[in-house]
Amino acid sequence: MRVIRVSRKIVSLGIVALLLVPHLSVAAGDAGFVLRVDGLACPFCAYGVEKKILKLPAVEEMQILINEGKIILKLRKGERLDVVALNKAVDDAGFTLRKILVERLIGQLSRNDAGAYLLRSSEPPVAFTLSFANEESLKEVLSDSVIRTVSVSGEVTEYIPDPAPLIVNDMSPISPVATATP
Amino acid sequence: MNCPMYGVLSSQGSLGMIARIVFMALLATLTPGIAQAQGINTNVALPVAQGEGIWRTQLRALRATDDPSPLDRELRALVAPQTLVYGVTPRLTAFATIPFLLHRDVDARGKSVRRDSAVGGLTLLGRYTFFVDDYAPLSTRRVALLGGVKLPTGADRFGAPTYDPILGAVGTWAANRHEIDVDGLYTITTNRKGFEAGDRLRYDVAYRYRLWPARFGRRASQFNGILELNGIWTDRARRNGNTVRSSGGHTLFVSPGVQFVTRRWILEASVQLPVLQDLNGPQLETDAITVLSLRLPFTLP
Repeated sequence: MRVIRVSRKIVSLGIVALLLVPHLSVAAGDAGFVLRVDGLACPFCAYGVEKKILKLPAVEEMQILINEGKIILKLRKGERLDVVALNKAVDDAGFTLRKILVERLIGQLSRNDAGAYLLRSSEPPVAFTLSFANEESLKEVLSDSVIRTVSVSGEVTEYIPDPAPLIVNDMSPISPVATATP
Repeated sequence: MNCPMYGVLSSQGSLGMIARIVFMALLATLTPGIAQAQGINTNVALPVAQGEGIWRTQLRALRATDDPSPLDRELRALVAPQTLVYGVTPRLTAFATIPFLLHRDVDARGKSVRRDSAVGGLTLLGRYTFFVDDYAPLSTRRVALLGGVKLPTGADRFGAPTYDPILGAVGTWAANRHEIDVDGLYTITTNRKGFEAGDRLRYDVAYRYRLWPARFGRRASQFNGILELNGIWTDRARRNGNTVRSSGGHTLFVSPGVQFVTRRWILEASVQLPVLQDLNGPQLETDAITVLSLRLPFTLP
């Protein structure tokens, strides 16, 4: 009986969550990509942006939250994420892309010869160079010459070809990779 | 024709010429500047996506009955301007407007003298937005220049069949529930067969307030209330080098309207009421202009 009561509570919470969250069917655990766009003054204007973004191969679905100036993207599996194309789509519609918000992007963290951190993700296929809003708080995750799988959240404000710069707000390890023993 | 009334309203003779100028001026108020307007009778500087288009169809009904002359003329006209809008680049938008005069009824001393229909001159216009400040969600400030030409493709009785250059500017400030649009358009009329209609200045100010919703939900539609001031100043016409004294003037309309906006269409209605009519000579004064309009987006293949 106790198990049934708990299940009913979970179902009720789930229904409430479905009613409150945006309608876009993004699976839990998927990386999230949100465009912050300014200047969308009316729904008729927003339709122009919608048509441009849905033409991109990487975008399967989208939802526009006009009040917040946000466009939530659901990406097509296996398609490369192109931040240059996203910026061009918003620009071609006549509006301004302020930033691309990245949430829970899982990838391999590495460091290049110049000492810059790189993140390479396979889903979606994309690479970013990383800078850190607060590097001190990420000391435990960052360590020299160690390749780790990490989950990263941050924002992109420069729209250049891969690897574009990603300003990291939060990073957490997914699984440590054993380092080579000396 | 022997009918004296027809003589007054025909294109023959000085009185007929005056009447023709009067009707042309009145009919000019029925053809809006351009059609990409959040304000219904006012231009805006909001963008049209590159490669995308908008078709705008309107019905504009004019009634003019206040005749200072003893002829007691009345004019009722129904015009359907059709406009195609196309986003050439994110900053450059092209407009093509052609007005269809569906019917024009002219009465004098209680008798119907003329009833006809015609096609007006094609107007081509370009709008280049040189200043853009998208400073927040639902907010933007933009300023654009306008330039174009009215072509002599229409019937004589629906306006002068001349090449008339047009210059202007428009500014838009939108902030969440509020929007203000301001524009000015100057038409330089040219001479044909000794006749030149007066240059024309249109100026408009529109205020739009989103009545519903207070905050957009999942379905992004909105219902707006709009209040506009629409002014038209026309210079006196010239015929064979002589000024036609009973022509030109200044009319200012107050135009309340409503608008329902969705992602895929806009339906709107407005009534233009003259609050100032300072016309030269015995010209008909406008009672009201009623406007009904629909806008639909399209994509060229």
